[in-house]
Parts: sequence; C-alpha cells; structure tokens
Amino acid sequence: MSLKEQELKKMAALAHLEIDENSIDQLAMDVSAMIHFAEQLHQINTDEATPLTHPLNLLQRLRPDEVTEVNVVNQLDGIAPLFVDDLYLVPNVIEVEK
Amino acid sequence: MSFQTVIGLEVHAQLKTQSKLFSGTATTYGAKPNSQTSFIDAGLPGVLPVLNEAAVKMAIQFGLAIKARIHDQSIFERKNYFYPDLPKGYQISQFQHPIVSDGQLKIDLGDGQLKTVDILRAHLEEDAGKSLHDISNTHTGIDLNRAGTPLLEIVTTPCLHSSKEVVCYLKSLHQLLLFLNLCDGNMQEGSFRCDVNVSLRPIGQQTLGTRTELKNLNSFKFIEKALAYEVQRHTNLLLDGQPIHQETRLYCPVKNCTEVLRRKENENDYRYFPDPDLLPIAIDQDMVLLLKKTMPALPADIRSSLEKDHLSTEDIDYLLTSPAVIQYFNDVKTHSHAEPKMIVNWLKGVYQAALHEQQLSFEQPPIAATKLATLLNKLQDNVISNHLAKRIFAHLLSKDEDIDFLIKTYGVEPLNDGKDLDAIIKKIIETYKSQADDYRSGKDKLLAFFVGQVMKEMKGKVDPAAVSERLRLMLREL
Amino acid sequence: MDTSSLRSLITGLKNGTFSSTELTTHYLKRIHEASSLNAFITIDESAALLAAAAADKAIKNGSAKTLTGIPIAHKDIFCTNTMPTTCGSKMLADFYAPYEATIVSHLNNEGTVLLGKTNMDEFAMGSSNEHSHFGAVKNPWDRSRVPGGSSGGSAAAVAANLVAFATGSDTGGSVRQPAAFCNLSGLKPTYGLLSRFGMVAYASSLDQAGILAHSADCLALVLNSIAGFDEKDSTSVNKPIPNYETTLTDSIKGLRIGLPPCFFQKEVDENIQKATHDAATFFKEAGATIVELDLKRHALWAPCYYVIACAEASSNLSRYDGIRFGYRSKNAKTLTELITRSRSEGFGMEVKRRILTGTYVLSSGYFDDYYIKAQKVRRLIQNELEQALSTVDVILGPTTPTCAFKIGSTITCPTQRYLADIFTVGANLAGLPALSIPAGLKDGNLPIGIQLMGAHFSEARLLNIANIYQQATQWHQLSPENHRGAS
Repeated sequence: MSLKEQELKKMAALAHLEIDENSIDQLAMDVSAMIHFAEQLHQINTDEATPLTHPLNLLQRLRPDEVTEVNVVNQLDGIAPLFVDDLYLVPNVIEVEK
Repeated sequence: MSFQTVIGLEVHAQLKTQSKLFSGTATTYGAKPNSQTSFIDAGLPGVLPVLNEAAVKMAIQFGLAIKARIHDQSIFERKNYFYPDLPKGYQISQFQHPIVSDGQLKIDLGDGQLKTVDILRAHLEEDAGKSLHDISNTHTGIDLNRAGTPLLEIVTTPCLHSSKEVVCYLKSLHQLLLFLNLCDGNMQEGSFRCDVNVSLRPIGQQTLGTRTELKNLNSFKFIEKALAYEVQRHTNLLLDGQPIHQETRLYCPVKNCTEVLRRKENENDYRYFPDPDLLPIAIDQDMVLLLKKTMPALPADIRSSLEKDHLSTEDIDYLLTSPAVIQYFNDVKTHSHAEPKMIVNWLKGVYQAALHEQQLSFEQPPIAATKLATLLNKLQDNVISNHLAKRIFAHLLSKDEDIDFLIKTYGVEPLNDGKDLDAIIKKIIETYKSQADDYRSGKDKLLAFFVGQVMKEMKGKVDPAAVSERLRLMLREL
Repeated sequence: MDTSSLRSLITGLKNGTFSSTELTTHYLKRIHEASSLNAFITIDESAALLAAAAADKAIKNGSAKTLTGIPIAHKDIFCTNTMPTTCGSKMLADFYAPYEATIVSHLNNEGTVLLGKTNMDEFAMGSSNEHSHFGAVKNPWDRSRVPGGSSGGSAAAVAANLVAFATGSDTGGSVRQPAAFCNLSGLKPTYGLLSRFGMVAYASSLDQAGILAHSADCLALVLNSIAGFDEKDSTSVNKPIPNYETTLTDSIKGLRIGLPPCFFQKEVDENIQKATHDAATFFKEAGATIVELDLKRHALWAPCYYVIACAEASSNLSRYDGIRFGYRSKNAKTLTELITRSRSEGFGMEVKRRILTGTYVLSSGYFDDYYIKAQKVRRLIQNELEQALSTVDVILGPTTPTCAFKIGSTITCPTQRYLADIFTVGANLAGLPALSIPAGLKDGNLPIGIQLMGAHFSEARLLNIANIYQQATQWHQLSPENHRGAS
C-alpha cells in the first residue's frame, strides 16, 4: 500500500514538518516502505493479546505534594532563542490566510 | 417545528495542590512570568514527569462525593498538538481509562424541582501555559507558570436542557468543589472553567443533533448569554434547512455572539496514545476507604442537618456560600445557646455588612466566633437589647474587649424611665427654637444636632438611638 | 601505561604507576590523533584536566572511589551541564542543558574524568552513525566502514582506545550493534535499571542507557556505579542492586543456553553463524547445555519495533519547536512558520522519516491497525521470550546479521538498513537485558559479535557468562592495531 502524496502532506502538517517539492517523492516512497514493512504484523492473530505499553508490570509511583522546585527563570532565559521581560516570544500571527 | 435543546458540560477545575501534577513546582496564582516554571514544566530534552499524590487523592474524593466508579487502574495518555503554550507538543491527559466515571450530582432547580445530572467521567490532566497577546504589535508572550497545574476535567452526559439547568448544575458543582476543598473556584483567575456543548433536535427525536462547542465563558452570565445566542443560531439554521457544522466557537462578550474558531484547529487529530513515561495509576481500596473517612461534609448533607434546625432555604443557601461561612456558624453554635435562626440573622445581616465594608471574609473573621457566641448569649438571655448588641459589635470590630466590660461602659438607663428624657428634650427644643423650625421645614440633618444636645445633658447615659426616635416624635408634635 | 583494560587502569592509578592527569593527557592526545574518526562532537580539554587533577588529589588522600580518575566519554544524548548536548542534531547544536542526566551525575560522583561527548545518529535514530549533523563516524577497524549506530561515536572512541569506556543508549540495539561492529562488549540492561532522566528520549518504552567497554569485567565495574532507582524517573525500578563484580567468576556448569535455529537464516553472514556456533560449542564444553529454541515470532520483532519506536518518537520530538530552546528558524513570519521551519530546518531526513511514519501509525483510521496491533504483537513477543527464558537461562545468538558495512552502502534503501536490528530489537520490546561480546573476526579484520539475552534483572548472570567466555578466549583483547594475523 503506497502513501499518496496528499496523505503524506497531511501527516507532515500534523507533525509540523515542511517537505520541499524535491524530497516529497522520495519521502513518500520511504515512508510507504516503512508502513509496508509494518504490515507484516497483520499476518499474526492477536485476538487473545492485550496491548503492551510497558515491558515491566509496574505501577505508577506517587510523589508527595511538596514544592521542591525553585525559580529558574534566569536559566530558562539563558537557553531560550527569544526571551524578553520574562516571556517567551513568538510571532503574533498564527498563519497567513491563503 | 419545535426543538429541544440538549446540553453537555465540560468543567476544568484547577486542583488546590501545593505543587504541579507532574513536577514539584509551586502553583500559586499571580507569580512573575516563568518564575514558577521548572525544566520539566518547560518540556526540556530528557526531563520526565512524576505524579502528584494529592491530585490523585482529590480525584478520588470527587468520585466519592458524586458516588461514581473509581477505577482501580487508570492510564495517562498524550493528546498531541502544537501550540506555544503547550511546551511538550502534547498534553498529558486521560482518554480511554479515566480515574473516575459514572457519577451523579443532584441539583435543586427551585420550586421543589430536583434533577439528577449524570456525570460521565472526571479525569486528571495538566493545564497549559498562558499566551499574552497584548504585549506588542508583532509578538505574543508565553508564560508557562500555569503549564503543568493539575486539572480535574468533569464531563456530564448531554442531559441538560436549559440555561437554568446549566447554571444550577454549575453552581452546585462549584459549591461541591469548594466544600471538598479541591478547588478555590475562582472563575476570574481561571480555576473553574466551563465549556458548553449544545445541539438541538426536534422534540421527540431520540438521536442527537450536530453539536457545537462553546468556549471562553468566564462567568455564569456569559454562559447564559452565549447559550441563548447559540440556541437561536442553531434554530435559525435548522428552520432554514441549513447544516450545522460541528465546530468550536468562542463567545464574544463585546458583540454578544459566538464566532467560529478557525476551522483548521477543529480538524486536529490528537493521536491519543498511552504515555510511555508514566505507568498505570493503581488505586487500592484502603486508600479509598481512608479518603472516605476523612472527607469533609458535603453541601447536601449539611443542608439536611440545617433543615433540622428549622432554618429557611435562604438561610441555608447563605450558610452554604462557602465552607468558611458554615464553619464559622458551627463554631458560634458550639459556644452559644442562642437560637440558630438568631445566629444566621446576625451573620447574614450585621456581620456580612461589616465584612463587605472592610473587604474581609469569613476566612479571616474580624470578630472571633467565640466572641460573637458570648455576645449572642447575652442577647438571647435578654441581658442586652438588640440595639446595644449592635453597638458592642461595632466596637468589637475596631477593638477587641471584654463583653461584660463593654456592657457596663455602654450601660444605659432603661427606656421606661422616659419622663426625665422627655422633659430634657422639651427643654432643648424650646432652647433651640429656630433649629427646630428648620428641622420641621425639611433640614433633617439637624436631628443629629438635637441628639448631641440631649446626650450632653444626659451625660451620655442614654441610648442615642432611643433619643433620636423620641426627638423625631417630639419635634413633630411641638 | 597499561591501558589494556579498565582494571589495569584502576590498578595503575591506585598504585601511583601513573596519575589521572597523565592518563587524561594520554587519551586527549590520542583523540587528537584520531580526529579523522569523527568520534567526538565536543571535547573539553581544560575541564578534563581539572577533573583529572581533582581525581589525583582524591587518590592521594584516600578518598577515591573505584572509577576515580578514569577518562570517559558520554554519548551526546546524555545531558551535561558543562558542555553542549547535541544529540547529533542541528536542532540542539548549541543546547546547553541547565541540568545533567542522572547517569552523568553518578559517574561524576564516582570521580571519572569526562573528556567529551561522542557522535551519534541524530536523536538515536539509525544503525550506522551516518545520520549525524556532525558527519559520519568511521569504524577504527576499517575506516571505509560504519562503526554501527546510533552509539557509533562511543563505540569508535572505545575501540580506538580514546577513552577507557563510554556510555551509549540502546532503543533497538544502538549499544550492542556498534559493540559488535567494533569488537567491544556492550550492555543494554533491563528496562528501568538505569535512570532515563536527562537522557534525551527517542522511544520512551524502549530506550535504555548502556555501556561500551573492552570486556564484561569492565561492564560490571561500571554498572555497579550507575544502576539503581531514580525518583525523577517514573519508569525507574526500585529494587536492591547486586554487586555485579562478585558473581563474575561463578561456574556456568549446568547452564541452559537456548539457541534458536531461526537466528541462522541464510541472510546471516556465514562467518557470523560459524562464530556463534563455535561459542555454543565452547559453552557446551564448559558444562552448559545447548537447547534448541523455537522463536516463532522472531520475524515480527523488527516491524513491531519500528511501529512503536516511530510512534513514540513522533510524540517525544514534538517539543522541538524553536520556542524555548534549540534551533529557531530565521525565516519565519508567522507562528506556524516558526514551528514548522524550525523543525524542518533543524531535523535531518531520517528523523523526519521516522516522525512521519510515527504520525501515520498513530493517526485516526490507522491507530488500531498499526499502533494497537503492534502493541498486541509486542505482548506476544514478550510472552514468547519470557516463556523461552523460563526453560533456559540465557538465549544465545548473533548480534547482527552482517559485519560492519561500507559507509554509504545502505543510503538508497531504508528498510535494508532496518534489517541490521533484527536480533537486537527483541530485548528492547520485552525489556530484557542483553549484551554483545566479541566472538571472532571475519576475513581476519572485521569484528563479529554474539549476543546473550536473559530474563529481567539477570544482568549479573549475563556478565558472568560473558566473563567466563572472555577468560578463555582472546577475541575481546584484539584491537584495530594488534589484530593482524588473528583468526
């Protein structure tokens, strides 16, 4: 089953990735190949199986409700690409309407 | 064609924990931007979430209060989408396996009408940060202090059919959360947020119509208005044979209408899947039993017990305004043999007025419950008049003193010894004839002058209110 | 200076034969001389020398710990707060983490000397270290070939004796496969034994930190310092940690070793098959029993792994949006452009391929048929392996189907590349510990690795078995310099 260009673009939009026109065919082929590879899973009957998320049968540990973190705004500032007056800045406009 | 309105509600209540859902960062409101944002809250590479025990306990308590099913295993899932105030590019929430499901809340619509609202589920999830759009012409500022704060999302079935039912349910839910001490319920600060799902269907039809979701409803007033607008909008479209698009709409208070959020955002595929950084939450019965034992009293139960004290619905409604009020009432009652009705009247009237003036609340009462109890005991025993009690109360607001001492200080002649008083009043009216004339021709403020004069004569040993009344009468007659 | 093994280094330092400063200087020189391997992304000489001086002080005043003064490297996936953590990506090329990974803290506390951060496939996605923003790494055994991946830089650094040992990460074989390609001993412990805090996530339910060293003996020493519960990692296991050294020389008589025939398909290089069978013979002669194991579901390991790994990765990598850290596009006028262009310009092709695949398998309409299906298959795979490991003590097999391949040879066919993992992904899917050790050379110069996989928390046993093998054989002692003529 091969991935149509349209489907790939839809996935790219969901993943917020831009694919330039030169790469799109190759990428569509590559991802199709991966999906096709994955289809081998359909050969096996899994009716009796429950999904496995974690390899160990463990349960979530609970942390006491205590404040343990301090103000690290200076460190956040230090690694942020655009940080002014204690705020992360992003463009105002979400998208240009086409 | 007549339509039935069908409404389902989603409330996001911020839980009153000290720290965030998955990190040990403080949750206090109003801190400087990004000063309550840890590396985990900021979604930096390699950081991991660890679950807050108190949030789980609060969810269980809510479940117990609405007699819901508390699942002994529930799962956190990732809701994937991109937005600047969502640092990880996904929100940790619960989808297929919520912690609580299938509960009920009974609400009183008034006039003896009761309704049972079905609560489909309540689940834990983390809040997003805040986008500040007004900081510049070109940029939006992102503050992540709120990111990671625990939310309990409470979802009803589509079982509500009017604005009245909606507001009644929300108020009851709000009160319940307050009384369980799970949420501070502050709608202005965003601790209690409501989204409304509304659809219409022809009366008698079983299947639901297409619904729209309304957001940005910051007050009960807005909810009523938004619903009214939206129901009309649906009605118009349906009567016109037009389709209703399943979409999210924002309420615009300025224009009093709802507007569609860009369609693109409506088409998000969230790709929910179990969060691999978190393990299933297991709740054992011992924890549930302990929480049941230590749960605060529910509003409905408090109401039943107050009804036994023969208090009116309005009185009980007042006492159930907040846990602090009922707590104060109970404290007074413990230390006083005054009638419950008398206590409520005092709280509702004199005390509430004083609180309002001084911008205080029963959370920090200016007069201790034990003190008020003593005062009301004196009143109950007819040792003092209602009037004197009020004077003493006023005094206590500014300075705390022994009540017996105050009674002595304000000690007045009994009013039935009025002959002396009348003689003095008569004398003063005759002395200040022109002022008396002015008073009679409409200068009401002069009454205070006369009261002052009488008080001086009586060397203060008389109740100024009684004097005032007597003066008013006699100034008219003479 | 006898730098032949970690133990000889420890002895040398303890006895004062050489100092940590001398050792560090020695390794830094070698790193410079071998810079064409491209094993390192960041080297911090001055910090290393400072740490070495501190270590020397501790050694002199008797406060040294086992690994104090030992020069090491961390795969550039572990956050360090003294040098960048790039994950081999343009996206994080200038990222200075304000915190450090728990594994890094453990080794710092041990007094090790950090020389630098090693090159890797971008965000740990790859089996050849050809997908790094910082260029491909070369295999010290044959510089026209890959060292394996994604921990290729760490493997090359240890194999070329540029450090005593290095950390790696293993999601589908990224420690074991490079170990096999570079003639090293590489361990991926049980899921949850080592903290994942500060280890940049690729696929959270599969990722585990690992170690690359010259022998099982070294692995045991290092594992002692880094294993254990971490409250900052919800998936960290709270269990008492044994001393992995004390059981290294236990007898393996009576050991039951499973050998699955399905591991010997025609695609597996015949030299590798032979080396594996030879190892089985060795174990038999040492008193173990070889048991034929039928792993019916083996063929599903790789497809199952890729669905789950890509799905989790597509979500884990959503945080890279140019807003709070990392690469930010200069070509963005709107918010959508900012996020989309930062990601598109910051990520390489392999990462994009996996994110797109992961997005696809999680998307509505495909979720049940791919993601849920894969999770169910994962359950069946784990069941089969656990069942097998209840009948044998360890499963033996080749680590990889081929030896190190030529750089650039698999670029044209991504799925071909993915077959490199067919023996290693099973351990990640089931959360089992597994290690790769050298077992021969193909044509006298290309390393061959065999893999031992055990039940949950059986690391001590695996290291023991590997150690017995290494005490009787010399494959692990060969290096790119001294192997000529070995057969």
